[in-house]
Amino acid sequence: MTMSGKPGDPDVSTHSAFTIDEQKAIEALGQAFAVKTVQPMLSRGGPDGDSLMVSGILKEAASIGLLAEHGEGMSGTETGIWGTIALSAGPAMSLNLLKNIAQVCGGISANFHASGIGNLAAGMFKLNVTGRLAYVMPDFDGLHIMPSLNNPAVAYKTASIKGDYSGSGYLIHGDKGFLLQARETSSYIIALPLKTGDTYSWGVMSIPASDSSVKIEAGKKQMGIRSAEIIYLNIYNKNIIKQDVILLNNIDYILLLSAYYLAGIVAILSGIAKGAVASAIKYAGERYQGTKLIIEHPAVRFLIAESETRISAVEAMLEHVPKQSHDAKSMLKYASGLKWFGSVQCVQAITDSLQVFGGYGYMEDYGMEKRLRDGETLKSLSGSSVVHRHTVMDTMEV
Amino acid sequence: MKTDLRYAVSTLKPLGRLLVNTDNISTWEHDTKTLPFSCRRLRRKYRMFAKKYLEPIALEVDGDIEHFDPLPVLRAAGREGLLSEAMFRPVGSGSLSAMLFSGGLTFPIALKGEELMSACGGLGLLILDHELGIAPIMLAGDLFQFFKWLGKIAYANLHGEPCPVAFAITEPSAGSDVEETEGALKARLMTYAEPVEGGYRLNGRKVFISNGAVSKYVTLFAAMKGEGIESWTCFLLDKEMKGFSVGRHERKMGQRASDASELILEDVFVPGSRVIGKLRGGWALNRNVLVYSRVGVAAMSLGIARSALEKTVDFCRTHSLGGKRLIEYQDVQLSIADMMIDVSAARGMVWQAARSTKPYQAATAGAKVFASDTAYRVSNLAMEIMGDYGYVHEYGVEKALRDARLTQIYEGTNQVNRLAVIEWQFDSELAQTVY
Repeated sequence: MTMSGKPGDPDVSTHSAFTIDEQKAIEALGQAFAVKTVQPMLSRGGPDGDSLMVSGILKEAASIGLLAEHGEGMSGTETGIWGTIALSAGPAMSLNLLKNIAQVCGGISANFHASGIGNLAAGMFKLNVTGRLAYVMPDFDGLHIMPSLNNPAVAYKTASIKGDYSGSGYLIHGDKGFLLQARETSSYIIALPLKTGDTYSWGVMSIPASDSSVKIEAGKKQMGIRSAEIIYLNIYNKNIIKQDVILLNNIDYILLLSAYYLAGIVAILSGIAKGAVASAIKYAGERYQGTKLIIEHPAVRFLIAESETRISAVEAMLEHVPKQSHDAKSMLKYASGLKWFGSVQCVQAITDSLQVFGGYGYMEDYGMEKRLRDGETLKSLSGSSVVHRHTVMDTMEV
Repeated sequence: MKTDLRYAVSTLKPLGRLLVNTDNISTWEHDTKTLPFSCRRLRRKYRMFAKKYLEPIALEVDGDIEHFDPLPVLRAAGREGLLSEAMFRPVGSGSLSAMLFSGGLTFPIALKGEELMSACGGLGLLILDHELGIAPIMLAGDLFQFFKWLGKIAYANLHGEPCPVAFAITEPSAGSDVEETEGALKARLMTYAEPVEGGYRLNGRKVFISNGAVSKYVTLFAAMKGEGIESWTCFLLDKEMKGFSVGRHERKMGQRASDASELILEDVFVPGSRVIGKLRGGWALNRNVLVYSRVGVAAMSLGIARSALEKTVDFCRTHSLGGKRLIEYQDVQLSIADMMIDVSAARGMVWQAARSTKPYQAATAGAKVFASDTAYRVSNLAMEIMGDYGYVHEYGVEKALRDARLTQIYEGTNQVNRLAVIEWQFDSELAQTVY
């Protein structure tokens, strides 16, 4: 990513990276949290666990610094999942933690992801906002991103949320559907095109969820990741004073956040798939068909082997994400490719693992059907393969 | 200058125009027109029933299964003759001409399977599972049983007293085992029959039994005490029998309108007259039932695939992006074309298998694998096209995917069905060449 140092470019180089030992310790903390705190939720209530426990789980995660909430003195702001340290150290640790937690529950991991990206956005743009945040990505021009890149005038025409200069500040209006957020999100960080007279620019600002101009509709009944929320956000003529709006020189930083956001979804998917394969191996090693354990049957062996290979390929792609950070456009291309390709591979691994269980896999008690529902939902969330294939093509030099 | 095909056809000479099909009708209508009259009429009847009784309540039932009462749907299906087609008129409602002119015993079931499941996977299964339940009586019952039981059941269904029959083979530790040759030899069975005066005493458990709770009768397979699956025998059980009870209802990912229940047998006395087919002839009977029922499951899968396709097309016709309807985007068209091709291919395979005068294992198992994989693939494509809308319950595509997923598992997993294809052809084209 270009570090121009011009006014309007955020400072992303003030944090030091973790040592390997520190990374290991944090990842171990994530695994322990998933097993000890998240797992019990799934053994109660319906197929998606006891939803009343989600709030307490997130609170505990914030207190130990895993869930990144923004603000001075908050333990996860810098070192949690998508803590601000990711701006200099790269996304690897956050992606690994998301993966680890998703092995137990994709929905809880999605909460961490949404809140973390909100925190990262607030840290990147040094916004004066605290609490549990959600980041609202701009909509681009239908299926195609390229016409909007570095051209906010084009983006302004089709953006669902936009701002108009009104003398003392900007009047923000519009709505955004299918927004992933953590439970009890307190503020939204919104990236959007702004119009001032005949000129257009990109800007970022925050709006509290409790603001009277903000209307939130709880999501419609969704297939999976039900521990997290997918909402419809409407902002009706919110006036933001000029000083509270960060104007950007270009869209690079917004793209960086978008890329991290997409990579995070794939990390969750890969975690769900890993959990599914682990369960399938365990089941196949205990269950007989005829005289043989089912793990000895070639059909079952192939299902598991193919799943494992698919996950390995996605993990390799996830490890490659940080290397792209020098160029936001390339990174977006990579992340879009990762999103559609990784999603397809992970969901195939999940459904093949479910197949190992036969009829039991289809029943809620074994948790495999939840994994498939979670995976399918994440596959479609924030752009299906149709959108992302276009993005890959659009960001290539032709 | 006009360049489309229809215009090009209109410029042909009269004889040329006669040789080219220019009907501006849906693929459903095209396919229907290829059928004999009686089958066309049946296909339209099933479609109308599905549109009238199943489609309007499909999403609501799927979303709130706890408050769903299946009896009104079964009653409507019964009155319309959908639960008594195993018996021809005047006893039942079966169309002898549809069966004779289509060439296949299972062809009417294939038509029904597709139409009902295209409206709702769960409600479709609720009605269609009855065919599976009575299949052992059809295939192995003696004349007395045939007329007594099938006649009685058909009469009740036709007269507003729903009388569905369930089929019970699966046991807690024997799922694929009871559907495949190699596994069956060492199947870990736990449901046994013991000869007693006047009949048999049954003990044990069956699991995942579709319509296990709502059915009135169950064709249930049990081994003779101390013996293996070679002694399997089919019994017709009445739910009113002492010691026969329904255990837990499984919570399923999809096809939720049809219950999947545990059946518990505690010293259930079954009169000898209720043995269906030969004593110890249950394994052979079960295998033959599966040969027939796999066509049904293939057709049901086809119906779910079509449902995903239709919902996607409907969505793309009515939703716009960047000022254009989705259906006008070429990338969307490409995906929808893939879905249409997949559905047509599956229908071709299902109809081919169902038209066999005597269904055979390689054809029916192959159709089941292909159609169920198609249903899952098409549902996935539907979700891809619809993006975020895909995972929202009210648009119905995520339900199609959940419903489709089960078709790859029941009636033998697709892995077991692949082995069935090979097993059947092993002594023909797979046999060792002798020079």
